[in-house]
Amino acid sequence: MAADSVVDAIKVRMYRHGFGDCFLLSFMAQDRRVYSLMIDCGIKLNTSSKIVPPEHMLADLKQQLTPADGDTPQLDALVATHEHWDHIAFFHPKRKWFDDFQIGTVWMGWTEDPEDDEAVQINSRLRKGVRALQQASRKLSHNSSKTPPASRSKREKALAAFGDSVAEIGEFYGLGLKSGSGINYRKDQKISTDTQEAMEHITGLAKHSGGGARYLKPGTLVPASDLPAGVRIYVLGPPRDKLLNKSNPSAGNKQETYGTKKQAHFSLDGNGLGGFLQAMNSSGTDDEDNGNPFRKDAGVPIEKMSKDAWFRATYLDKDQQYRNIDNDWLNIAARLALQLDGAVNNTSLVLAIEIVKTGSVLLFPGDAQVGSWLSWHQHEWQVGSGSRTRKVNAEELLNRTVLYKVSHHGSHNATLKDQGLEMMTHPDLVALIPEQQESYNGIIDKELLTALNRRCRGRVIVSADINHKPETLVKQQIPQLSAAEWKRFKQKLTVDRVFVEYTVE
Amino acid sequence: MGNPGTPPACRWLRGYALDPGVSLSFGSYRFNELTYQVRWEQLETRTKAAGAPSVPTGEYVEIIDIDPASGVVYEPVNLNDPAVLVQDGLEPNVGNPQFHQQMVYAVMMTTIANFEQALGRKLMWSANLVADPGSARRRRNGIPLKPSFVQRLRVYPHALRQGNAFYDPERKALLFGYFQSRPASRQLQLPGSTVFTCLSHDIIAHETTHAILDGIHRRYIDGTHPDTLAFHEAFSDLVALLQHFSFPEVLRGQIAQTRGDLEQQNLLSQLAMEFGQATGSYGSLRDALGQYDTDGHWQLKQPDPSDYETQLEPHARGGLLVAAIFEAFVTVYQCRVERIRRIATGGSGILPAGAIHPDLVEELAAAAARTASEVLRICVRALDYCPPMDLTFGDYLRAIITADMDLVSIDDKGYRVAFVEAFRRRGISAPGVPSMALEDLAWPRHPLGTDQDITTKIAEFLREFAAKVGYLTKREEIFNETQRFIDGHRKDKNVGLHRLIEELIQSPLSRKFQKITGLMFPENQQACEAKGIEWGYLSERLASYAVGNIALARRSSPDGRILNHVIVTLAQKRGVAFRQSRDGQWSIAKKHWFVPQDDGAVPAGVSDYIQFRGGCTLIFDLDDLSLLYAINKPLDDEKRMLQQFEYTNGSLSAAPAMYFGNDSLQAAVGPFAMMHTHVPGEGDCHGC
Repeated sequence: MAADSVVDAIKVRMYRHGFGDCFLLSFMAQDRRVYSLMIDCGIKLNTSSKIVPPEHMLADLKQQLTPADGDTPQLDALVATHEHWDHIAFFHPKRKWFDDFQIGTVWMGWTEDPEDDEAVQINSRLRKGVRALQQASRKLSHNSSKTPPASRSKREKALAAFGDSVAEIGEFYGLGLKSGSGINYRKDQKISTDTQEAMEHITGLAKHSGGGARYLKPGTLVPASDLPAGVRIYVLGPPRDKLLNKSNPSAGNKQETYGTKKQAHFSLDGNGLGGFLQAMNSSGTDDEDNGNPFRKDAGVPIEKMSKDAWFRATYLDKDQQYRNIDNDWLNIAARLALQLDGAVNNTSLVLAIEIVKTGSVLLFPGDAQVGSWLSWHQHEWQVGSGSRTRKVNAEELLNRTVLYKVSHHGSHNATLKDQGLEMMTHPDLVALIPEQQESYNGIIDKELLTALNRRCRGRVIVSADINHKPETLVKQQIPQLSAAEWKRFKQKLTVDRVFVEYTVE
Repeated sequence: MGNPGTPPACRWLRGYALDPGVSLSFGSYRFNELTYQVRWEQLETRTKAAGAPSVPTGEYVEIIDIDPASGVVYEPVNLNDPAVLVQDGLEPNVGNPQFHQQMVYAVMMTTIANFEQALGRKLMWSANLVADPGSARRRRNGIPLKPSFVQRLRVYPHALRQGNAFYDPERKALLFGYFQSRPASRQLQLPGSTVFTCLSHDIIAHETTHAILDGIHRRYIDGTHPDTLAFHEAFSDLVALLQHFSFPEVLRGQIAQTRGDLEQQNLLSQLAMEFGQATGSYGSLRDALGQYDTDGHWQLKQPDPSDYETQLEPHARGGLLVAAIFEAFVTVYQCRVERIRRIATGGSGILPAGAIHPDLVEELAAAAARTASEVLRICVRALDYCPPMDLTFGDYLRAIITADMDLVSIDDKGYRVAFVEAFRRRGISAPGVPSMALEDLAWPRHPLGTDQDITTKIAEFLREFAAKVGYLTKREEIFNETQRFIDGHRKDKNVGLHRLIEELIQSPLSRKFQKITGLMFPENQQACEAKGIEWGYLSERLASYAVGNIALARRSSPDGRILNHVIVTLAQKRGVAFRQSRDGQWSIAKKHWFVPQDDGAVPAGVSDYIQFRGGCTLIFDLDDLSLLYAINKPLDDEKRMLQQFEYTNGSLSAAPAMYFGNDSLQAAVGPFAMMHTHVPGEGDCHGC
């Protein structure tokens, strides 16, 4: 390759459209773009930013990617990190956003590979879980809507609030509770979700116009033939083993993340959820096992029992209604919701992008949580050729990270401490957080933010949060930096209404 | 036999001794059946027709076996069916929901009976607070509430599909779950089999104890101190554990199996752990007792005096209390059987090879069972000697010692010393006592003859109370009459406790009364609210306060004395605001006391605050009208305020709170629902 087409810088454009990831990476050689890569394009369900409507983001993408002499936007590669709405919403066929793009390849984690048995199993489990979640949240809202809001007891209000929260998690899967949208029932009894459709659509587009889809495995490198000269991309996740299920830190001294708060450890198929999932997913046919604990004739259907005098005088007595338990078994939906969230987050494709010339690394972990991070350290990559081959491990990549896209919008359990952020020792480290204020409790986690500010010495760029305006970073001297460092930082950072862009060399 | 027509004294009901899954590991299913001896009571019937079958609803408990997840209701078991009566209840059978109801009923009634015997009175469930629009007493924030009698605890044996069971204080209900097992060890349980928490004696007793404790000390649910929620858990576990040990049949099998080593100190502790094994987190408090080492031998855990200082997490902390009291139990047991051991082994401590003589097994099992019963009784009696809020383990130890000293003049088995020693070894002490000597630990007796002007007035009132209430046998009547004594019935000439207190506060005795009780009664409404205390509840002319309970306890001691006590608990609350100085130190913002609102609203400008409670437990001797003890937590104790704030500040859990506001789930299901969410067989990913 000619020397002037070796990549010497990467411009990272983070869009400010609201709560969601959308990153456009332009690989530059001598100030000319030689390659474009988009990582995710999504937004929290039913939200938007008043300042940056999504159409403006699309317009900017088109403008950036359409060559001067053409009219079709061209994207060399597109990454869909994982199946959450705030990462892939705009890939959905209804949006028609990318239909006229020419896409080279789509990169996804092996967890999306329809040919991979384990992936197929995982996905089917997750879809069952999602469906169960929707059913649960429907039931909860149905039951709580029986009483008008004004006369609800404290408990009923709490149950309604709980139902809403469950529904909110459903939003990650594009499930709209009120409209019942988000889940489609296909003819073959299989279910699909809107998120699934989005992934399938974008894969289809790539197949149609370019090289199709690549399902990447951890511990490998993206084939050099797919990349411009001077760039290496390491695949760190998703993990292949049981760490896929680990979304929360271990207790006590083994605490791997920031903060001293205690977590409980869940697992998706664990004993607690099996029965719940069965009940939710059953279609009520006789021969299906819907998790009933006794033989079929052991109990009397509730409908029938409601005509019994004793039952009416006791359970159905109007003064004793406050003691009913019709919905308590749904409480475990909370557990399921959190577990699903963690499980899907851990299927995130994790990429470390290296500019070979300078050794700078850009880390894009999607929404990977504890288990994924821990698994990265199992891998070793062989790089170089001939007599100059050497091994690279995750710790080294972290040491050389100069740009970190903060995992899961800055939640407490998605940035590892000792084996993560504390290994990002590069003095030029910058962090990007794509989120909008007041989207979820605990985002951005306070202790994590403090740690990030310490590591990055103030260079933490948040996309759409009014409490953390990027404009401030370029207007006021950042206290942790020297005047010269701040000047250099300002040179590399462009703050626009629609995006912020940082140049890594 | 009694005259024909008199009801029998008891009803025998079969149940499982151990969780049906666990019994497989001991390889001897014969030891798994236990016949509970339950007090006979009249049960409700299915319909009013003559000869209608009974349902498992009695004086204390109402079992309604609805399974919402499966969409069915299981028919109520008819315990009066002659076929059932004649065989000591239905045959234990995991696949029969009626048997499940029977087992729950049996264990609950056993637990309730144990408590009533120890406390010397009938148990009351915690009252329901209902809106009382007709009340003449209006609360400042407009919602008049009155306590309403809850006769029966609602029990749902198959309420959830989870490895969980909990007591809901709002609904006065016990909910039990069931789940498909997928155990860590295949030998323990067959995969795909259903495990029912309602078939575990320990879980049933544990949850019932939560409910009982809630009825005695309502405020123990508040997490104001690392010990408070830990206490609820630990105490419930202890009751389950000790009650379990009080059945000699359970131990016979195990002791026989040890085949010889009577020096095996660990047997009981090990058993304690294993009872809890299949029940997940229910057993996890007992992890404090010991663990299996790398060779698979069970090792007793040696206590560390720094434990109490360092173990702040509720689970670990609760484990300390369980371990301490269990150690006391084992110590007394060892003393008790020392002579037997000497005789059996000729002094060597080593038995000849082969099976242990059945008489010896019987003696050991009986000794353990007797000791367990006694320790249980001591632990339960101590509840009456505890303050009504903010309980610490040190307080509980003092309560144990005092309660026992009152009842048992000569402690020839050495129980008290055993307790103190076990607590001391874990560093659990009572702040403010000069030493761990028994005399120093016991609550100070209110000096005889002092303050007689106050105490006589109150005691006279209480004597009237005892005269009225003492002969009532129906719990509802006891409840209603007690409420009348608290309020003062307008028709009756009797004064009503609140009017009595009014009188006292408006007399020169006011200061003394406030000092003894730890309550505060500022002179007028303005002064009162300025201190953060609500005005006008219970009495329109005084600062608000609540009467937790007035209870008559009649206990008989081993040496034939009868103790007649009246126990009165009083409580108040105030809103305390805090501010942080520049160097990060927190202190009380003394200009910002505020009256706590029911809806949790706080005045503008207050961002760091707590709801603080104070009050006292007063124990009166009815026979000589004296105040024996005033165990108080003063409402103006600033050190305690700061402690509570520091503990509660920043102790919210995270991940659930990220998506689920702290209010939503907690408020919906109460504080106990999330306690036991660990499921057996699901290991933590340690060492990852």
